[in-house]
Parts: sequence; structure tokens; C-alpha cells
Amino acid sequence: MSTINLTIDGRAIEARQGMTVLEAALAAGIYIPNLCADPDLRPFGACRLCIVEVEGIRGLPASCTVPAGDGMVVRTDSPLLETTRRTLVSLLLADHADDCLACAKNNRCSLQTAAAYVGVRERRFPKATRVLPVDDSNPFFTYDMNKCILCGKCVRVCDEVQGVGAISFVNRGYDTKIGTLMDRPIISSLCESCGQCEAKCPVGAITAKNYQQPSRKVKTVCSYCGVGCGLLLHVRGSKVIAAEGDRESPVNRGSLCVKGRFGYEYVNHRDRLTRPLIRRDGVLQEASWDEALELVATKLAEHRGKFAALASAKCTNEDNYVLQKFTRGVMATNNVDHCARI
Amino acid sequence: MRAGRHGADIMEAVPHAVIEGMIIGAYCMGARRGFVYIRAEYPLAVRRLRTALRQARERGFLGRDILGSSFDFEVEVMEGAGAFVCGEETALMASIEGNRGMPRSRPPFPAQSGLWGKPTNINNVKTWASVPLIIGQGGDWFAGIGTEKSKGTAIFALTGKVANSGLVEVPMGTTLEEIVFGIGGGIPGGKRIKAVQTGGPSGGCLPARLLNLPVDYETLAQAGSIMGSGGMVVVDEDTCIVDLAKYFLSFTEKESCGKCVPCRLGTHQMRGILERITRGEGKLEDIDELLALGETIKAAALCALGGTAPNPVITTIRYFREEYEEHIKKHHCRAAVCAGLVKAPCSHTCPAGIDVPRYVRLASVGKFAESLAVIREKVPFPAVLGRVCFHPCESKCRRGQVEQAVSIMGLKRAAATYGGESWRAKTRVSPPTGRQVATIGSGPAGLTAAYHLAKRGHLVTIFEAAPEPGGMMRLGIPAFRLPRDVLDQEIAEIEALGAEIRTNSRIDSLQDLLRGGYDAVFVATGAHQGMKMGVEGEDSPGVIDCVSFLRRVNLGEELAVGDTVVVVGGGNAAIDASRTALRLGARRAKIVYRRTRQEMPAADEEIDAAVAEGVELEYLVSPVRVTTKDGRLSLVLLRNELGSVDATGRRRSEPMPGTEFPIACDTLIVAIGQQPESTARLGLAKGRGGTIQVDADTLRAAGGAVFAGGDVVTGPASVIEAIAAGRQAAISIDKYLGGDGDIDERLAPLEDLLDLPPLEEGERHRPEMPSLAEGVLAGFREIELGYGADAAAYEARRCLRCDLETE
Repeated sequence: MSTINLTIDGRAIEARQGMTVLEAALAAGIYIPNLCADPDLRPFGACRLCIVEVEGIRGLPASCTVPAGDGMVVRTDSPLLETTRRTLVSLLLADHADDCLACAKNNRCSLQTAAAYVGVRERRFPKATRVLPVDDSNPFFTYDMNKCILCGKCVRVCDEVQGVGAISFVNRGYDTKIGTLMDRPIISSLCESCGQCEAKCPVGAITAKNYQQPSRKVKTVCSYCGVGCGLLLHVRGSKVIAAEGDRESPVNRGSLCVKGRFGYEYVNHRDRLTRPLIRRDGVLQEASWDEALELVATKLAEHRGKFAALASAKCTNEDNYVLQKFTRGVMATNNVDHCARI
Repeated sequence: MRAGRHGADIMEAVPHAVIEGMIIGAYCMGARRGFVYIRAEYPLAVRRLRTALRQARERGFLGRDILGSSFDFEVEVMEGAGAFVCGEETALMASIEGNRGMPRSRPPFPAQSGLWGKPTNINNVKTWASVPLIIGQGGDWFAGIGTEKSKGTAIFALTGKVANSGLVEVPMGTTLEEIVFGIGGGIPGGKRIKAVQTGGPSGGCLPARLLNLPVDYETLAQAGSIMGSGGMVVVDEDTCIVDLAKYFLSFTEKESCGKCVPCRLGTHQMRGILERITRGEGKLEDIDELLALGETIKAAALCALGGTAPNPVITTIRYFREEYEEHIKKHHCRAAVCAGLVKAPCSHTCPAGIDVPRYVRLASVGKFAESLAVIREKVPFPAVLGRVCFHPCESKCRRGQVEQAVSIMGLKRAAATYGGESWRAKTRVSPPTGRQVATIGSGPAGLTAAYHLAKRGHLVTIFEAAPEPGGMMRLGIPAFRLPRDVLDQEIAEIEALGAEIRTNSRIDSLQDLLRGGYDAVFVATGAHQGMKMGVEGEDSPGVIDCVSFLRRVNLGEELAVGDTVVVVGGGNAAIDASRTALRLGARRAKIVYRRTRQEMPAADEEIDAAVAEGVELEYLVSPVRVTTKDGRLSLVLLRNELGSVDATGRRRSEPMPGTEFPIACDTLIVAIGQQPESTARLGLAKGRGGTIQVDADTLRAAGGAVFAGGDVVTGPASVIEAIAAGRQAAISIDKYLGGDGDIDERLAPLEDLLDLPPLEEGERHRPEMPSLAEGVLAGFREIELGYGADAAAYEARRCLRCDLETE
């Protein structure tokens, strides 16, 4: 991939062809405040915080929509940009419920970061008096339009990445909000509860229920199916409290489905088997791993040739290969089948 | 291709021209598919276009292998839901694709990646419809229309306060004036044009004085407006400019697609600020905030909707800032529109703030004593005002939109006539303060200030240079409009409160007064010096300025005016002079005025009265010189035509060379205006036209204890405005002397509104004002006789009671 050279704030920057100015700046370690840009989504240009001045381009283009060009000269900071950004953030804050300390996105909120960067120190516009309904219908996450900044990331990820399109912008002007078809509760929509919207929401408008901050994150692979999505399990003490898609995993690049993202509670469930059980005298009783494996081996040996194996699409290819190999080679039968045989 | 209102008109009228243009364009560009995007609200255009498309297909102009050229082209009609933003090309494409009509950033431009990612060319209906004409008649023909940079024609949807509204097509570069007055036929109802909004709701508002602007892209942009969607809304003096800006901004706020922050939230905050200003809750900083927000939205918005949405606000602040300030500082809406400020248009428009609806309502049930008391709560001259007020209240009266305005002035006279003296019992007079105030001038301003200051317990002396008190009420207004006993009686009421009037007392030094024991001085010396025409022969014997003429006659001099009198001018003074001349024995009196009756500043009923008495009027003439031959004067005039509109919204007179003609007369009265006599001796800061400069809010002139008001500050105005200045001076001086400045009082109890007779809603005309039947010109007897008590009550019941409106 070819590289291009541009100047940002007087610094010579190298960038990949195809990057936007914002991406080039961020890659070079230059922060430009932004709320609606996302590396996984197409350029949108709604929040206008990433405006810059580019020599040869009129006005204040949004750096998230301007392709970086060879020889481009960009300024990310000027008195005009500063006052404009401060006005934009002030406008957003006037319409944003301010309960930052109690907000689930506290400390990981892009609006906080932007407000801190542009330096909004006082309330410039009167606080909005409207109270929008909170959609609590989904068991995993909550939509609170009182905190929505209409960056559109949720809409775009649902459409562009998930291909679901459960939500969209509805109404016009100041009444614009994120909603479903006919404005029904999210649970009654096409929504598959994957929570991609929650993961992308830069503010507290879409939050996972009962969210707590982790004490550490553990990198792993989702155990639900054969796709092998990369996971970062959020752990607090010894307890898994949330799952996050691993952006570094080439399999899912951060995306997750409803199970991977919200189906982690079995890990801590009291019914979960943590030791092998052997049925003795009609009752399941705890056993050691050696006892259990010994028993399985014995039983399998007894059934050689009188055996069938049923595999699952949710296992990895490798697991399924090994199973059929074992069935044919060890159990001496070709009776292998699969649940997804349509 | 997109179609708004005028596009729809083109498609209704010449759909084949549009289709032909598109076919030619597509052939040149190699396009295979065309779309017409049109609001579903224009079903006629949709139907006709579909018919035309079917016909074109039948003839083989559309479809495969058009006319054997191996060129394929098809046109589809897309009906949009009428979102304003879908006029923006990227939103339009999104809408055609079946997505929400939201603009996206460019690049990529439609020509690179448009509909479904294909190269796309987007043009207006009018552009496409022009293509066949240009191909047929040649590019030079088209370039010959319009201006250097803006070629061709512009189409406007002309609407608002204009006689002829509708779609107007003019060559680029036509002036606004030609469109509004030439084609639009001007402003109906004798009102004055205030502004023109071009470019639709996101265009700019241009003031009347810019009407001579040529309409083209560059000029409009320079003036802060745009060609935009081709809207052209004409507004007159009855439109509040802040309300107008709010109206347009509410539209763009609602039509914002909601995508980008500056447009969605910025317009919302701007509209909120405008709401507060029109409710009287504005702050002066709000104006700067509106401008700052407007600039931010323009700079940062994603598309042209946001980029232009603040235009109406920015341009109205640029051209009408004082109206914003009036709303904020004085809670005053000069158009009497803003519901949050205006209790009733009449009382809101009254410079002195008389509670008109209340006194009218009391008159309607025959309670003239209470009615008079209500008037007296604000002004000490009910009988004078009932005869000579220029009654701006009536110009805003809502009844005027039904048949005629309520005769608010006539009812004031009725109250003064039938109201008796019971009001006096409730007058509040404070104990003496020991403070002394000198008022210079005994006109309506000086006397009003003296009246209120005396009631606040101050010792007031009024110094009058003339031999009799009253100022212009006596020296300017003839007795046939204002009988002297009426004036004398109201002045006597003021003297009865202890104010002393010293006539023949000219003041030359304010310092002498202040050193002589006066704690404060109010300068209200009026505007008593006639203006000159500046033409040759103006100083000939027999030529006299109107102020001097009226003054001498009104002080009792029996002037010989001869047989024929000509008056130059168009104001009330010119009318008074001509009518006075007839009473002095002139057989002919003729008024010559440079514009037409419509532009005449004189009150309509005064002009009518003069005409009824035989005064002749010659319009559209300007004096060139005065010559004298054998003791007779000859005034040479030049004919005028009406030209462009001036800053006051009236059309200028422009002389036509070579049209000179003389008229002979014995006396020539010059009534083209007046100004204050030199006040240099008083050592006060000078304003425009010989006036005194004061603080607009307090009327305080430089020098602490000196205040000034009335004509000497404003230039020649009206009795009621002078009274308003007198009230303000009284408030300021009372505060200066340690009082609280509270000069208002309640002289009549608040009515029980439940006892009101029902509203007269049907058509009901104003009764005719009884007037002198015989001997009109024999002497100076009062012409108008006033309503009888029953007629007055009848007239008062025409009031629509705007002040009681609950919504």
C-alpha cells in the first residue's frame, strides 16, 4: 500500500493512501476531538468536532470525511477552530443529561474527552428542558435518548457491520432521535441484541445493564461456537462481569453476537459443572478427572464398531476433524453425522 | 434533477422542454438513466410529467435506440415526501436510493460517485428546461440575458405584502425594486415597505433602502442573502423583523435533517434566543450570541441548509439591529406583533403608553368619566390629543383589518368632552420636596414634564419665549383644528398644580438657571425654524416659510396673502398652511408635492379635509426657482417621476429634465420641514439637523442636571411623541432629584370584565365624524365637532378587545 506525505500542524506526517485526515492525524499521535468517527464505520461527518483548516479547501472541512492527500497542509488548531469547537460542545452539553459521575460511561466517554480538550468551563446555553423516554425493554442494554449525541455510530454499526438495520434516525431537526420502525420498543424490533450499538456508543446513551468497570481484562476466545471470536473478558476479582469484542482478533475485529457479548453469566453460574460427575447407583457423584477419563475410555472400548458420532457446527473445524478421525480410525465406524446437515 | 415550487410550475406548463433538456444533457454526458425528483405535494406536475414521458416514449424520444441513434435513455419520476433538505443534492440522492434524506460530505462529488455510486449530474428543472432554448437560439443569445457574471433569468415566487403575488421571471440583474414595485405593483394598503426576504427561508432579509440592488448571485451574496430557492417575501411596516427572523429560523430548525450538531442544535438555540427576545426576556448580549452562533453554524454545518439557515437572523441584525434592541431594552415591538410584549397593538404603539383598550371599553358602556381618567393616567392633554393626535395606534388597530380602525382619537375627544372633572379627585400630589425645576419651552414636552414634576412635589417654572404658552400646539396647529379655549383649559390644569409659566421669557444660559437656584433643567424648545428649499429667488418678498406663517397667523396677525397661495411640501404643516390661507381670503390654495399622495406624510383625513375645502394638489413636482414680475410671484416647477425607494421605504422623486413649467401666485409658503433653532447658546452637544444629543433612555444631556426632549432632540415629530418625551423627562428628573420616578397613577378602578357587553363581531362601520356644515372658511371655527355620546359608545363597541385575548 502506497504512503503519502502531508503536513499536520507543521509536522511532516506519513500516512497510508486511503486514510482520512483524521485517521492520519490519530495514527501520528495527534488528537483531534471527534465523536462520530470510527475506524470500523464509513465516514459520516455529523459531529463536526474534527473540523480542520486545509490549505486550498474552503471553510472548515471535517477531517473524518476528507481523504488525506499527498502534500496536504492541515491545521488542527486555530482560534476559529477553537471557538467553533467550543460552541459545538456547548451545544451538545445543553442537550445532554449531566450526571457524569453516575453515568455508566463515566471516564470512557468521548464527550467528556472532547469537552475537556476544548475547555468548556461554563454553561453557555440554557439546559434543555425536554425529557425523552428511556427504552429499557432489552434485557441487556438500555437506550437513554437524553444522553444521545446523534453521532449515528449505533445506526451505522447495525446497518454497515451487522447488516440488521434495526434502528435508524427518526424525526427531523431538533426532534431527531434514534428509533426503531414505527418507534416501537427496541425489543419489539428487528434487533438481535448483539450489543454492537452499545459497544460503539461513545456516550451514556446506550449502556449495558449493571455495567461495572473491570479490574482487569483477559484475552480469550469465545467458547460458544466455531467462529472463534476474540474476546476480552472483563474481570473484577475472580468474576467475569462483561465481555468485549477483541479488535485485534482477525476473526471478529471487535464484533460480537448476543451470546458472546452478553452470555457470559454461565461462567459464574452455580449450576455449572466444574468437576466430572459419575452416575453411581443412579445418582451423579463427583469424581476425579482420572476416574472419569478411565470410565469414558472403558465405555468407548466396549462399543467399538457399535458406535455413532454426532458433531456440531459450533465446534471448530479442527475439533470436528479429530472427531471423525477418531470415529473412523479408533471406533471403527463411518457413522458420523452433523447437526447442520440440511 | 429536482423540482421545488417554480420547478413544478415549469413541469406543469412545459414538461416536454424539461424532458428534451434532459435527453440532450444525457446524450452529451453519456448518461443512460434520468430521474426527476419532485415533491409529492405537486400532483399536477407529477401527472403532467408522467403524461409527457409516456408521449415521449411513444414517439421514440425515450427508451432504447432513440431515433436510431443507438443511444438509450430512460427517465423516472421520484416523488419525495417534501423534506426541505432533499433539495440538497446528496440528500436528494440518498432519498432516491430509498434512504433517509440526509446529506453527506463531499468529496466524493456526485460527478465522481453519485446515485448508487455512479457518476451523476444534478440540475434544476429550470436549467434543464433552458437547454433546448439555448441549443435552438445559441449560447450568445442566452449570455445576452442577465449580467456579466450571472447569465439568464431568475425566477422568483413573489409573495407577502405586495399587490400582485405569483411567479416572476426576470433577467438576472433586475433590481428588487423593479420586481416589487414594477411587477409586484408595490405595497397594498398605503403601507410602507420594510424589507424583502430573498432566497426562501434560508435567504437573507434586505432592507427597503437596498431595493435598488440588482438581483444576481454576487450582489445578493454581498448583501448577505442568496438566490436560493427563489423565494421573495415582501414585508411592510406591520411585520416585526425579529418575529420574521424567528419564523424563518423555526422553519429551518424543523427542516434540519438532524445529522450535524451545528444545524440541529445551533438553530434550536438561536430560535430559543429569538423566542426569549420576542417575549421580552432578551438580554443585549443575546444579539452577539445570535451572531456568534450564526457564524459557527455557517462555518461548521455539513451542508448548505445549515450553511444558510442563520442568514435571516444575521441579515436582520445587520440591517435592523435597533428593532432587536427595542425588543430587549424597551420591550417594544414597533410592528405591534410579538404577542409576549404586546397587550394590545393600540396601547403598545402609543408613544405615551395610554391604556387604549381600557378607555375605549369604558366609553363603550358610556362611562366617559372613567374613560377620561384612564387617559389622564398617562397624559395631561386628552382634549388636545382627541383632536390633533396623529394616532399611530389606529394604524395598528386590528379592527382596521375588518373595515376601519376604531376611531381611538375620536373616542379620546369624547372622553374629554363628556368625562367631566371627577378624575381630578384621585390625582396624587406629593408633598413639596423643596426642589426646583426649570422647563424651557411650554410645548407638549415641557408642559407634560412640568405636570408630572409638579405632582411629584417639585416646584416647576416654565420659561416660554413666545407671548403665549403651548408651543406648536398653539403656534403651529391652527385654531380650526384645535380651538384655543380647549388648549387653554388643559394648560390651566397644569398651572393649577402650581407650575408657573413665564411667557416672553427667552433663556440664554443654562448656567444662570442652575446658579439661580434651579436643581434641574428640562430643555424642550421644539423645532421652530423652517427649512429652505435652496432655490433661486427663495428670499423674494411674498415667500414665507410655513412655521413663520402659521406662527404669525396663530398669534393673531392678519396676514394678507393675496389671491393665490402656493404651498410647497407634503406634511401636515403644508395642509394646515393651505387651509389657513383659504381662511385668510385666498381664493386659490395649491399644494405642490414632489411625490404622490401615497408618499405624503400628511394624515389622510387632513388631506381629505383640505381637498373638501377646495385646496388643490399638484403631485410629482419639484421647485426649481422663484421669480417675481410686477409684484407677482412665479414658481417654476419640474415634473418628477417616482424612482427608487429611500431609507424610509418611500419612493424617491426623480426630476424629469425639460419638463419645467411655471405657476403664478401671490404668496408662496415653503413647508418642506423644520428644525430646532440654534441651541448653541445653551452649550449642549449637537446632534443631527440642529438637534440636541441626549442619552436615549434617560433624555439626560451632558451636564448632569440638564435634560432635553421633544422636537429639539428628535427633530419635528408629533404632539404625542413630545408628551412621551415629557413623561420620560419627568421620570428621569424625579429620580435625579431623589424621587423614585414613579409618575404613573391609577385614576379609574379596574373594570369588572365579567360585566362586559358581548363583542361586536359583525361588520360595523365607523360613524362619520360630524363637522361644521356652513361657514367653514369664514374664520377659524373648529371644523370637526366630535362624536355625540351615543355615537361614541357605538364606535367604542367596535373595539375587538385584543388586550383580553387569552391565547
